[in-house]
Amino acid sequence: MASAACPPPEWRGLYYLRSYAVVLVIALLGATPLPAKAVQRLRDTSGGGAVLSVTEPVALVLLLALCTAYLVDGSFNPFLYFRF
Amino acid sequence: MNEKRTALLTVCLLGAFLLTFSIWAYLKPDDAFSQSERRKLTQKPSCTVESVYSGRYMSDFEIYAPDQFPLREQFRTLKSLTSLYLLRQRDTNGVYLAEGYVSRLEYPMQEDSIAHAARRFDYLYDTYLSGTDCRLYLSVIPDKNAFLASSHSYPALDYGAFTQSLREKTPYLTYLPIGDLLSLEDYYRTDLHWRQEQLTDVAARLLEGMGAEAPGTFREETLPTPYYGVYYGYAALPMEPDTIRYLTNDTLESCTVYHYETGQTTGIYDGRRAPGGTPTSGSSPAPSPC
Repeated sequence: MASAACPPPEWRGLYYLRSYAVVLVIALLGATPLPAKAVQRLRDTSGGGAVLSVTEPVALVLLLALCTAYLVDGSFNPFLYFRF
Repeated sequence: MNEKRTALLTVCLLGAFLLTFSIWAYLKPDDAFSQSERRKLTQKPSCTVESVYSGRYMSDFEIYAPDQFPLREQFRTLKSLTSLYLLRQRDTNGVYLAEGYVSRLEYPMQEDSIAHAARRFDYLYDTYLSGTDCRLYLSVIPDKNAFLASSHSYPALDYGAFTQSLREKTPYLTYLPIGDLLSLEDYYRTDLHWRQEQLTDVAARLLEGMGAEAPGTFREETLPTPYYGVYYGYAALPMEPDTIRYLTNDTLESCTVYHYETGQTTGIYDGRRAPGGTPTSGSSPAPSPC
């Protein structure tokens, strides 16, 4: 059985920092004008504009489905035993 | 022109999504029970002038809507897959996957909870057992985290410190260690419980420590239905189910259990209950008086 010394309190902070690293990177990039500029640059190309005209609406629906999934999962309220 | 067409397609797709799920949610009969959460689901709130005027209707509806949303379990699976594999999060709903096992994060150690448990033991000891000739023992079953978390960089309790803390608070109990006899394989992959058929050495250690005789021989039986443990529900991920095996012999099969709540008498193993419940609900009914 593992009986290593109890990790220090900051360990938990590091765990969550690592766990949410991708979310934080996406949030940081999303807070800059970079994504909008990249999409605009793609839209200005002849092929890119055509691709975006289809992928953009599909991506938005997928995002809506993901948001719905997170909202539905937010109601998850489990019990260990049926009687409780 | 291209932008107009994109905007029209966006509105149509989003509108179709919203309309489809709104109509589906309205027409779908309410589910009574959630197997993955082991609880009753919220039913449609009654719409009265009083409940609408007081604001209670909308508060109740907000709880009701996600409980009864169409494809609820599938949406939960989508969320778990997104969290773990797209956003690379390390756990979902407080559980993580490692070596084919699902386990729940248990960290940090709650000293208050240990103290509270010890106070309840004290109460039982002072009220009923102090001054009697009862022999009293303490044994601590480590969670499967003890064998899984640290090696996969998940925070975990220091089970040694946990046990030590409880022992110090209950000096009237004789401690029987079992941690050294356990390994990850002694636990169900999708549940928090340990597997009975793996525990004969633990039982022998406890019996020896209590000065009791070793039991007779057992034969192993297997339940035909797959077992989806409680952590399967937490994770909401596609996983292979566990198989419940249990040990029995002629003596155990001749034993009966009387259930005070239902007035029924059953055998100690009730195979009809296990598939939807916990491994223990297939044997002695853990959360009910008997």
